[in-house]
Amino acid sequence: MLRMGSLSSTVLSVGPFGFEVETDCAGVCRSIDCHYSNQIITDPGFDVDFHIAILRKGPDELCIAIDHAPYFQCIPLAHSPLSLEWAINYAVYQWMHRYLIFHSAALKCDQTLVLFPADSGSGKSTLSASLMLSGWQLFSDELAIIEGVDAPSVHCFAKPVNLKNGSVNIIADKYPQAIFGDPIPATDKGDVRLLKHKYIAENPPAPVGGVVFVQWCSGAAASLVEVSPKKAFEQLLENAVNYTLRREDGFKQVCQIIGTSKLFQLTYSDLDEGIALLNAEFKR
Amino acid sequence: MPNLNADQPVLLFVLNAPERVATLEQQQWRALVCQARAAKLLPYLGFLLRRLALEETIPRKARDHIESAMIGASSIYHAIVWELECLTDELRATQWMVLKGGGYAAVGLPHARYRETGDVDLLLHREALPAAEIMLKMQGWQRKAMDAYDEHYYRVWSHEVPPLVHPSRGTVLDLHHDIYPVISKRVRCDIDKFWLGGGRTASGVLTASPEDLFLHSALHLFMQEEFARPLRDLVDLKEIVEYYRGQDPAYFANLEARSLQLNLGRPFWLAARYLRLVLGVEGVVTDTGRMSPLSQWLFDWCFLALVNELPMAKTPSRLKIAKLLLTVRGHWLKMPAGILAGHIAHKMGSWLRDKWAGEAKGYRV
Repeated sequence: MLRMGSLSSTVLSVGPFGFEVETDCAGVCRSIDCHYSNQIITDPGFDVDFHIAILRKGPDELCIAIDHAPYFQCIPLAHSPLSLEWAINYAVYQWMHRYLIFHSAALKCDQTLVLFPADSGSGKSTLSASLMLSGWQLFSDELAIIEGVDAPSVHCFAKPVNLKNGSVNIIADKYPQAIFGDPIPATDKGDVRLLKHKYIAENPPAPVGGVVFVQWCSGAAASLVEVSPKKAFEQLLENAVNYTLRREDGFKQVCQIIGTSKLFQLTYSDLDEGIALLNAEFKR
Repeated sequence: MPNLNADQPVLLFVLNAPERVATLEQQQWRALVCQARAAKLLPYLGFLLRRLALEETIPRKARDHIESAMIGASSIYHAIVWELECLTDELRATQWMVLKGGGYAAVGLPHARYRETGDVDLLLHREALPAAEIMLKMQGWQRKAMDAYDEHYYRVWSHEVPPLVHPSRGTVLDLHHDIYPVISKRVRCDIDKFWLGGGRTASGVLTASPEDLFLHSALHLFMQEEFARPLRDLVDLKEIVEYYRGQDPAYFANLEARSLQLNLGRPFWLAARYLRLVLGVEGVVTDTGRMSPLSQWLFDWCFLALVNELPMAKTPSRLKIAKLLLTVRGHWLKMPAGILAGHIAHKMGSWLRDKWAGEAKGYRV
């Protein structure tokens, strides 16, 4: 199956981490060219964190190995762009417990970094795509990577935004400048497309200034309502990946984040209305 | 100081003499982290380097990974200590002894804080098991789903009952009534003597005696059919022997005597041999339980291939053969020939059925 010479190896810098990606799958290569072209490292002295192999197995399947140990098998070839995203996310949340990690988008508006912790299906990715395309700086769409106990700050973890089903057309119609990767049909979450993120070379970690819980709700008038620290604490923990594992340090970090942030619940059905409320609150 | 050969695992090189980390280059650090993670020794590596005040020599990237692994393992340690407190309450009507990883944590072995322990293993008296199982189920523990054959295997032939899972604490609990399969004719350890050696920790948990902790660990490593993490298990043995030897210079001599009492001379001899050969532990020479030269040569050939295993996509042929030979040996030790033949036939049958039915498809996001 594997022809020598068809194997390509690329080193990517994604946030504080380095990945050596080895693949014989054209879909993965195209995804790297489309989304990570600014993050390819050619310096041979660059220190990588993980080796990711995404290799074809049979005519229509892929398998993923991280540091030469197999982790995901039988991935449909059509999901190849996602397989790279899965592998990167998996390695980070499985092994990098030095960082506090949330299922959360993170975007910066002027000087304020805002976390948008939410489950999938809440409209978080659609909102972060829109915010990014209307001038906010995307730090992360899926995993917020936080370092530091006394003064926690969020790393820019620059990866494409994962848009599902109807969101793809909404974003494509609204923002003609949006660049998408190949369509990815029939995943667990429906039809998916990766939206190219804006990469900013110098993007140092930023302290958290706002936490906004997002709920898309059909027909609802947009509202941005303050949330109590206690409620925000609880809701933030619902989206935690390795909070309990970090024990006292995790607790201190969440206390710091809650203490230094403005806390809101955003409910919206119309994107423009939601963005207007967020701009009014966070734009200087 | 000897240099690192290209084909020698850097992890073994460092475990043998940790001060050698000072000579490692960037690529070797990366390999060290990979190998240590695959062997489940990454948090231990951090512990070892910290104990020897070598932390400063770790480059930033490697430190990120080692520190992360130490955070993960340390949370497992605290979960186990908490679990033992819960079990002390839930099993208060029964006498039980905590074995293996949970035991290392209970007796306070320093490396237990940085060990990726999986299940909690308890030893109970056989006649007390049914009541204990009911008691645990009444307090929320659940049985893992299992087919009738596996259930029979556990209940009749094995030395433990099917594992229980705690739905909210996430713990997997193995209840043993012996430390080796009861149907084995080739390894017979006197479980009553094992019970009598036990002692209580300050928090009231019953653990094996210092000698039995080592011997059980050796039995578990060397007399099984599975050698999943041989290097991690060998490191456990090294930590046990060095910890207790520091407290009592006669510890190793006591171990030798105790291995004869418990009828565990062979695993004792194998443990001492590979502690010397693989980890360079000194002062662990014994003739008790010695193998014949041919068996010794063959076992060396297999076991050394295992501990030298590197994380790589393709398993080398020698490793495949070594694993096969060790599996055959393990089954031979555990099961009388008649039962073994039936067991192999059953496992072959289900393997073929799975093969024909097509392997289960599915992947996680």
